[in-house]
Amino acid sequence: MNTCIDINLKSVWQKAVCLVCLGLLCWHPGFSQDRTQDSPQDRTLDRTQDSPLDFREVIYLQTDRDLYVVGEQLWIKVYKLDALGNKPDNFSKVVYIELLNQTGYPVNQIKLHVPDKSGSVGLTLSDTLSSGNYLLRAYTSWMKNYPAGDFSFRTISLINPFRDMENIGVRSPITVSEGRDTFHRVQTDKDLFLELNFDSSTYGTRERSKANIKATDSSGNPVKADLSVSISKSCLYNDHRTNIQDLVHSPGQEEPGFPAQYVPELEGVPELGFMPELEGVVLGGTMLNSLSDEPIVNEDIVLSIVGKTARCQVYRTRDKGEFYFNLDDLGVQEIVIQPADSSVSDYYVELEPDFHNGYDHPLPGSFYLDTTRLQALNQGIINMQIQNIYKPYRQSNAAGTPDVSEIDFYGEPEYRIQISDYILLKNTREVIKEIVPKVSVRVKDGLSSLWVDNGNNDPNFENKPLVLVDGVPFDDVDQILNISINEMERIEVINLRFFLDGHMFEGIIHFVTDEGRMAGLEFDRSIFRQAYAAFSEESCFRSPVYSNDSLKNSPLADFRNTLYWNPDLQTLEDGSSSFEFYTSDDTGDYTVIVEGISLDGKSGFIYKKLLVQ
Amino acid sequence: MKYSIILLLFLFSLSLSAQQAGQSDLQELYHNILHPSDVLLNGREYKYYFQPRVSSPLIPEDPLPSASVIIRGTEYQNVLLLYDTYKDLVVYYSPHTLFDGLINTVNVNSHIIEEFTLQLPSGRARFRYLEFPEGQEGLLSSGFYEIVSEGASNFIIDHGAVKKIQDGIVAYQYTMGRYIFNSGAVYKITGKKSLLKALSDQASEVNDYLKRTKIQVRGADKEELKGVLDYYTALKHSID
Repeated sequence: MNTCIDINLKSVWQKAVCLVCLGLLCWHPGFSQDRTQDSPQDRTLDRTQDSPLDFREVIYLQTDRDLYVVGEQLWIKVYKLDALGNKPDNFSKVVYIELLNQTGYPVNQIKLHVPDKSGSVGLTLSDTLSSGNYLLRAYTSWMKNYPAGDFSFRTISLINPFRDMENIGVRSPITVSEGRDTFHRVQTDKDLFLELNFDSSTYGTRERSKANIKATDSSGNPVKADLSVSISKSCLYNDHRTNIQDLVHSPGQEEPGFPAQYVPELEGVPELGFMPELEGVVLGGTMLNSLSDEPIVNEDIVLSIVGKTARCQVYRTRDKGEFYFNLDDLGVQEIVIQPADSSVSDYYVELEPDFHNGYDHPLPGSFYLDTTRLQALNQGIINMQIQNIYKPYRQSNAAGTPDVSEIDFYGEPEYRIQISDYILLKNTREVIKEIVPKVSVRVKDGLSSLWVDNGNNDPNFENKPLVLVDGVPFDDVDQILNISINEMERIEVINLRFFLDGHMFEGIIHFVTDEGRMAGLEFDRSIFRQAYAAFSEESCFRSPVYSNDSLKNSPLADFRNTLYWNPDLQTLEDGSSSFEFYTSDDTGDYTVIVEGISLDGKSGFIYKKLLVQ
Repeated sequence: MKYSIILLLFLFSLSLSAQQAGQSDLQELYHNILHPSDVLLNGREYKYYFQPRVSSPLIPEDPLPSASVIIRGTEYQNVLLLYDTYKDLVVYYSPHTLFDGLINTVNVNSHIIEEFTLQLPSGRARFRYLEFPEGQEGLLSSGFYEIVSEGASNFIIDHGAVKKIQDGIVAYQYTMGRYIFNSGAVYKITGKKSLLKALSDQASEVNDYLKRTKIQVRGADKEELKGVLDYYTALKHSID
């Protein structure tokens, strides 16, 4: 009898579950939306279109240590994770990183190109910064559609021994924070277990050190993982330093005051408007009529970058005058935005802010020095100064702009006239007349224009060609023809129709000057021209190698506060990996931290002490 | 309890699938907004320099909208693409985009193409732009090559054309070269001897395989040669 009742109850329960599931199936936007009815072209970033909102991403932000001295490099690693499963994800390709002071003012901002699931960068801490706590925050453009509280944060402390030392308070160690780490946390099957073994427990100065790492899951199976390693003076870490497992497993439980690693709550109401960045930095903005403030719609506009390489993009403005360009350049570039049709003159451009404005999250509190660490910190400050003295004698940390051979958007031109290959003529007008093939000058009503012969024995093209000066469309031909020939490097000609982003040009003539800065030409109409920072230039951690006696006996003093930083240590199929480095001239306690995440979202963390004597 | 777990798992899977759907929707939305125009309309107009009735360096001979191309990580299918074997150009016909009332043929900028495929009489052919250092004797020049096999060694086909005068008229004759990359060296495959030289570390086993399968290397089609390369890759993996 009991069995019978039990079965009936189960049956009722099963039915209830099925009904709930069916109800959810019908309700859930991922299933209920009829995708075939919705033309992709008609869709915009509209809050009523809720399906794209289903995707959320988060960033985990990691630094080589917690305490820095101005003039040092702050080494950063970012992991891109999908918000739901906390698995490494590669959606957005740009991560915005900002350093905010205690009033929320950004003192440093960079855009980091992260083509893979994680990326790293070094940030130079300017000696103009005051001592105190700073907040490092990271986010993607897509994350800007949600409250800033969902960004990733980490507090760092900065000491400027040359100014504002009175900002720093001194107090005894806080016992509450001591021992607050993840070692007492209950381990779960979401954990990544890391084993770290050095070839010795102590090392001498300038000695090679090697370590092996093994990554396994809770069952002991080897795991492929993306790890980072930092080895710094122990006094430069906080006792309560949080790690990747705090983000993944135990959000919300932070100590009083501002948490070292702020954990986002993904319940915010989205405010859509920012594009995800799936290639490079999206440069968005609006073109408006300067007389009426009305948007200029359906107008082909050209983005160009001032320089010797022509990199133009064309975009047809949308319903509200919006435009979007994709930039994947390094460093600060001078950009020009103008209508392709030079007769459109009364316009102005408003660019969308690239970094997030303001904050709706806590800011870091006051900075207190731990009295037990004063002596060690003082040594750290001296180390920084020694390192900076010897810096010019060492190889630069900055990798610099990669030597990428840039290609003009039109590829190889049909004709390239290198001015230095020819006898010196009087001016550019004469060069065109005497040397440049397929190009002619016509003068009408006192104004010159350039025309391209398409080489078909037909008349010239009916429309004027695209005329560029140092990569920028420029239609005042008389000014170009008056450029001193001494300033001109080369002239390139394409005497074919050219299609660019849906726009057709009847030929292209590109004048490239020696300096690549438009030779002081002035536009006869207002144009939008300004410096724009795209990706920050790459940098990588470098440390001396003492592989032979000659190097080991180098007179260059080596007092690194961070002995080793490797943001990209990958374990193999068998879960193993290794790294090696050389100790410096500074003896004492060092802390080794290895942390990371596996492909399926298991996160792990291990730390060890290292003694150099 | 069991059903509660099932319900929770179901809800989680719903969220996951919504997350995935959201991501793909966003990608689609991004490409529609950032690249609203025909992405293949990027390059010079393509000018015919031959008489199609005499001979054509374009493959395939019968153009059908059956090609596909990958640009900026996005695959565009069923497009009308041709490959100019003489000039090493990818030619695109866009019947939907008219300029001055004319259908334009475009020589697509090679540096934006990650990969393209054509339907050839020999089957589906996947092309990719390969860069080779200039001025190194014996190596191929940079350009588009058909990628047939990628494994322990790579097998590529160079589709080309030579210009000839036939009966007083300029004609373009199709040529095909088969190459294997192995251990940093390039080998042109003309017969069994060159194939065994290219796969010299497993020459004996590969020779046995050729005998067993009765493959005549000189006349073998690309699928047969691909089979040999797959066998070679399996041999290498078994050793590792």
